Amino acid sequence: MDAEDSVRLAYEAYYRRLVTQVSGLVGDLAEAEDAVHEAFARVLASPRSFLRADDAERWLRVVALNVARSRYRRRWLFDRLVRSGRVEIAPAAVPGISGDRVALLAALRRLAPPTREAVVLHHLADLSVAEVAATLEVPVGTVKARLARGRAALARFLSDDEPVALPEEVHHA
Amino acid sequence: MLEPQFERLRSEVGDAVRQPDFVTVRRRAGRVRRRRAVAAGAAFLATVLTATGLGYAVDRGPHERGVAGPVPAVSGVPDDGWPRMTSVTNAGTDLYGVLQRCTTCALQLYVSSDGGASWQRRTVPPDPEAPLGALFALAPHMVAWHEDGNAPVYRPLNSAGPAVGQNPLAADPLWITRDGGQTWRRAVVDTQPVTAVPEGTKPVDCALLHVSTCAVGVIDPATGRFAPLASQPTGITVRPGWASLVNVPLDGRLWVPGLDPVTNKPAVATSSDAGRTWHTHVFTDGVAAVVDHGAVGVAYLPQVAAGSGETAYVLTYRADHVVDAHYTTDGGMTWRAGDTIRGVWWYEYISLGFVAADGSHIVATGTGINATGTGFVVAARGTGRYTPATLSGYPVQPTQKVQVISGQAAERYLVTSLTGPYLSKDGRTWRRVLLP
Repeated sequence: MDAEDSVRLAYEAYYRRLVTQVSGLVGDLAEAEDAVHEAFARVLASPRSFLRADDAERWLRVVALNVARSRYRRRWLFDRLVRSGRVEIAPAAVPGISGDRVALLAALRRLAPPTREAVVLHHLADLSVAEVAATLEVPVGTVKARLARGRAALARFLSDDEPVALPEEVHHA
Repeated sequence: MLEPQFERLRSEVGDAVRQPDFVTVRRRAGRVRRRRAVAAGAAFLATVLTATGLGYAVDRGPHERGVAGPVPAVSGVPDDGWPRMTSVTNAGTDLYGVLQRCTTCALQLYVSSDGGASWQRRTVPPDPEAPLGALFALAPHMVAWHEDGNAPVYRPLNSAGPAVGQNPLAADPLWITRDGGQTWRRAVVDTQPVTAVPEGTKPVDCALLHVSTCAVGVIDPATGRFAPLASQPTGITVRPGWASLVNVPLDGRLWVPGLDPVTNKPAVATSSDAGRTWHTHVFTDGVAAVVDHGAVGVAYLPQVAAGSGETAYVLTYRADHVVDAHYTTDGGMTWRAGDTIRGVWWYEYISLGFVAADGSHIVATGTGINATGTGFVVAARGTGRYTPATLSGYPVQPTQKVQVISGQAAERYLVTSLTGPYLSKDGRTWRRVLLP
């Protein structure tokens, strides 16, 4: 099997799952699709290390995480406003997904990036605390602290009021 | 109780995912290889320059990290990189910057009168309540400090701010300096409207001062007092916070984005006489804004970028990642349809859209930043086609939108990033300003 076939098989097997996980990081389905697509393109552009990886999905997840991080660097200013609760994401940003799920994505977006990554990897990617720690290259205790902080914040954001949390006037389509 | 919610999110998003054919990955991989080749060439050149004592440092950029070794390494978290200049602005010929040396350090204010070659420490407002203090210029010698000058306070529809004359500044005070950051005073709200915006003064979004009875006001550079404009834009809905969503220099005309009150289509109000009278244009071929729970997405608002004169560009939302350009040369009286730009992420064209010195409109696109600053922006003149452009030396991680400075400054374009501020004479070639 050549390198392209290997990446193609991984693309068939993991694309949807990775998009789901990255959508929790970037809060937008279209952008998550684009980020994961970019991650596969990067792996295909230089596949040698990927082919040596013991865990292909883990490898791809980290590449996708790096792409996601570069995305939220680019919108640092905007995300700062989202985290402060000053602007929210409109439901239209995630077509095909019900309002309370959009509210969860919006609530995730309000978490600080390190906390959000821990929560998404543990709750959405179903990784153990130890796996999250290994992926993020931080101590297990740090992951536990971020998860505790993240869960508390999410509970607070989600219990605010309506199914779709749209408390602010200006939203981003 | 979060587990069931995450389970349903997994299921719904999984069902909604659209998976393109693998051939698109192959095509994109080719672009990645070309990008890496260009970046490698730039890095090689930088090594040669450094070795020969001509030294420049090149950031490899986030795209090039984390793809070597048995398990790829995660790139640095977005919160790294200190010290930072979190906000910059330019008033007259002075450059102002808010510096934070570490994540828990207090904010410091610096002012430079020589384009950042040297900095003088100045005072911050007394007991600032804004941990993310941001500066914005209001006049050649007047600068304001607020929690975020580029994004004024957005309020829920049902919680309008206090009326004029009440104490609107208790929560988020707006601080004003008129002596280069030596002293600061809280802005005071006046009930008496003013007839016009003083020359060279930027109009102020009333939401910034929590005043709900107007859209546009002004802070008098002589007194530092805020007052609403007597004549507000007509034939247009302008909600709190929208009036500041324009990129116009201090000495530019007045441009106010909004929606047609009847159709919800994008509209722009302009004034050629400092706010005494207004003309509103509705982009009838635009997409009507969707009002959801009383809220309107910012992406539906026309994005105005103008220089000092009568020329301006407006981007209007067509569909997700698609915007239409419009162009005026007569101060907004008439508009001509321009090109349609595809592949645009709304937060990018909101963050980067300005008129360069040569009159062209520069817009960010979703084609990705690389280490050389290419493949990131498109530019067009007039109604021409938007084609890829290079912003030489432009920061990889800008954290504030590009500001177009009034004519007094030698370098009329300013932006800041995690690595510090950058200045440009023409909006196309940028240089990094060293931090204090």
